[in-house]
Amino acid sequence: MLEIRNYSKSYGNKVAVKNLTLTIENGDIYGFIGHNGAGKTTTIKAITGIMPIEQGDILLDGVSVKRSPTECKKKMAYIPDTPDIYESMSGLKFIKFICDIYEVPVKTRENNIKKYAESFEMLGDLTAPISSYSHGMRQKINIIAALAHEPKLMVLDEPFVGLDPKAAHILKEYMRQMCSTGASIFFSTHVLEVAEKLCNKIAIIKSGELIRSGPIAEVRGDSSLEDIFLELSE
Amino acid sequence: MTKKFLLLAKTSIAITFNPRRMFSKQNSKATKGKTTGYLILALILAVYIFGFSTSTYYVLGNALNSINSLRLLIYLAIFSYTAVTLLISIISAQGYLYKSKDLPMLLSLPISQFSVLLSKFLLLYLYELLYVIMILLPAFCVYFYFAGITVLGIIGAFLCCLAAPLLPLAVGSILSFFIGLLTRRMRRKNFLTIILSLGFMVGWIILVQNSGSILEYVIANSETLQQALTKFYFPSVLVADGLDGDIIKTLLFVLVGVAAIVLVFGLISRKYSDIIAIMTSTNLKKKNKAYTINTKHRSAFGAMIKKELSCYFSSSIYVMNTITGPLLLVIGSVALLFMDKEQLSAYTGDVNFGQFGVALAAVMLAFIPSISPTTCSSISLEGKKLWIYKSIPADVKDILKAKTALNLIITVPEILISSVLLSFALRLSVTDYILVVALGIVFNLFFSLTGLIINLSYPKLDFENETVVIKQSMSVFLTMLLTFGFMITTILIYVFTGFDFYIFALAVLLVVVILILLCIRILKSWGVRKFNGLY
Repeated sequence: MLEIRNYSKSYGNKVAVKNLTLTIENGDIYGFIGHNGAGKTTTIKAITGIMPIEQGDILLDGVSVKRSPTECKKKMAYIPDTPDIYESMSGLKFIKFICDIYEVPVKTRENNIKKYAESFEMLGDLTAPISSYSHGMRQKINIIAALAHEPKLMVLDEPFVGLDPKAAHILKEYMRQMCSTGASIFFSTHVLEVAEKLCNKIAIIKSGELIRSGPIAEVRGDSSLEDIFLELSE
Repeated sequence: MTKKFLLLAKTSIAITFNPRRMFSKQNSKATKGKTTGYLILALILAVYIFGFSTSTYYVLGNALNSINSLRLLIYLAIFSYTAVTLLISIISAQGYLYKSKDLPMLLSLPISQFSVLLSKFLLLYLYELLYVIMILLPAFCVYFYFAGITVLGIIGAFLCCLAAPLLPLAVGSILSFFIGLLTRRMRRKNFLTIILSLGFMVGWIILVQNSGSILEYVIANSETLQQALTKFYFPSVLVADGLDGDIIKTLLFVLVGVAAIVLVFGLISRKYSDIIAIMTSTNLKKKNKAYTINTKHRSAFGAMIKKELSCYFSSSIYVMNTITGPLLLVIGSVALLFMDKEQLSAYTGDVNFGQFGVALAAVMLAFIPSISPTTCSSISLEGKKLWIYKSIPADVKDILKAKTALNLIITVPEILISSVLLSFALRLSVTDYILVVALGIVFNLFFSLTGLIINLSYPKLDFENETVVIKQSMSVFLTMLLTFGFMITTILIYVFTGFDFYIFALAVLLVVVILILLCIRILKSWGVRKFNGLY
C-alpha cells in the first residue's frame, strides 16, 4: 500500500505540489489526471525516489521513501514518459541489467523476459542495440524490464504515449493481471477514456492541489469523467 | 533568412554556453563566486597556453630569422592549425552537424535548411577559434616581433585569425559526413574510431617527443620545406603576404575560406534532412528465429560496473579524452626503455639513475594517467538517463563506487604495465618498485574521487551532444587544473625543500591517503545528498 502524506514541492517561488495526501491500496489501478504542469510528474518522481522529498512523506507498506529509499525501490518499478535508456546496450542487456539490480532469480527472469518479449513482439529484436530502436520499441523494453522483476507497485508516467494500439492493449491487460494478484498501479494520463475504462480509482490534481480523489464511480457520479475533469479544472 | 538565422544562432549559443544563467542576478553568492573563480581560472589557463605557445614559436622564429626564413614560421603555424582543425572537425562535425539531438525539431520549423546548418556550424566555428588563440595568434605575434609590425599587417592578422577555421571546417565537415556514411552500419564502429584516433594520437606524441630533432630538420631544410608547404597548402602564402601588409592577399584568403563554406554547406543544405535521416538510421535486423534467453545472475555492483563499461566504450570521444593520460604513460615508459641510458646516466651522475629515476617513475605513474579521469564527466553523461540510476534500488554509494571503479579499471592496468617497463628502464629496486606502484595507484584513486566530487558540484545533465560534456564542461576543466596544480605544487615543494626523496615520497603518500579518506567521507555524506538532489 502506498501512502502520500502532506507532500509538497516548490521550484523556487513556484508551488508544484501543495499538501498532497493520497492512499493507494493493494490491488488498485489508480489514475492520476491533471492538466499540463499540474504536478503529476513531480509527484511521480517523488514516489519513485527520483526527486528528494522536502516536505511531507511517502510510505510504501509503511516504509518511508524519504528515509529508506532503497528498500522501497526494491518493491517498485517506474516507467517514465520518455524512454531514455542506455543506447549502447541491447534491449536484452538492459533488461538483464535491471534484473541484476533487482536480484531476480535466473529462472524467473528467463521466463518473464520470454513471456513479456513475446507479448510485445520484441523477442526478435532483443539483441539489437537500443540505439536502433524506435520510440515505441524503447518504451516496450522499459515495460518488459519493469514487469520482469515482478514489482509490488508500478508507477507509470503517461505509459501509453508512443505505444501502438496492440501494445497499449497488452499493457492494459498486464496492468489488470498485476492488480488481480494484489499489486498496485499508479499512473498519470491525459487520456480520460483510458482512465475511465482501466482505473478503479482516480485522483484529479490542479495547480499542485488535489481537487478530487476516490473510486471512479464516486468521482464522476452520473457525468462522464471528461465533464467532471473540465468542470473541476476550470 | 538572416533574421531567422540570427535567432537560431543566438538560441544555439545561449543553450550551449548559457551566459544568462552564469551571470544572472538571481544567482546565489556561492554561484556568483564559482562563476568568477571559473572565469579567473579559464583566463589563467588561456594565458598559460598562449605563453607556452609563444615561447615555442619564439625559439623557432629566432632560429629561422637568423637564416632569413621567417616566413616558414607562418607556413608551419598555418599548416599545424589547419591539420588540428581538420582533425577536430572530422571528429566533432558528426555530433554538431549531423547527429545533434535537436536537429529533427529544428528541421521541422519554417526555416531554411541552410540556416539550420549554418547555426550548427557557428558553434563548431566558435570552438575552433579557441585553437586560433593557442596555435595561430602566438605565431603571428612572434612574426611581428621579428619582421616588424604595420597597421595593414595587424588588420591582415585579425582577418586571417577569423578566416583560418573556414577552409578546414568545410573540408572536415564533408569528410566527417563520408566517414559517418561508411561506418553507420558497422557494429563496432566505435572501436574503429577509437583505434584510428589512437593511431593519430600515438603519431602526434612521437612527433612531439622528437620535436628537438624536427626543429633541427626544419632549420636544415627550410627552403625545401617552404616550397613543399606553399605548394601543399597555398593559402599559407596568402596569410604570410597578408601579415606583410598585402591586404589584397588577406582578402583573398578570407574569400577562399568563405567560398569553401558557401560551396560545401550549400551542397549539404540541399539534402540536409536526407543526410540526417541517413546518418541517424541504423540497420535493425530482425531475428525471426526464437532463441533461448540465457542469463546468469550478476551482483548489483557487478551489473553497474558492466553498465559503466558498456557506456564508456560506446562513446569514442569519451574514450579518447580519458585514455590520453594512460596511453601517454605507456608510450613514455616504452620510450624510456629504449632511450640511450648513457645520456641519462651522465645527467644524473649515477649509473643506476638513483633517486632521480625513482622520482621520475613516481611522477609519471602518479600524474600522467590522471590528466582526465572518467569520473569528472561520468555523472553529467547520465543526462536524461539519470532516472534509471535514481529509480533502481541501488545504494547511491555503490553507484559512486562503480563510477570510481571504471576509472581504476582503465588506469590501473596501464600503471602496472608501465611500472614494470619503468623498473627496467630506470633500474628500480624492488622497494622502489613497490613505492612507485603504490604512489601511482593511490594518486589515481585520489584523482578519481576528486573528479567525481567536482562533477557532482558541476553536473551538466542537459546537453544536446556529449562532446560539450566530455571536452568543454567546467568539471573536466577543473579536474585537469587540479591534477596539474597538484603535480606542480608537489614537484616544487620537493625541489625547493631539498628533502630526501624517500621521506618526501612516504609523506606525500600519507597525505594523499588521508585526502582519499576525506574524499570518501565527503562522497558518503555530501556526495550522496548531492546525487539524490539531481533530477
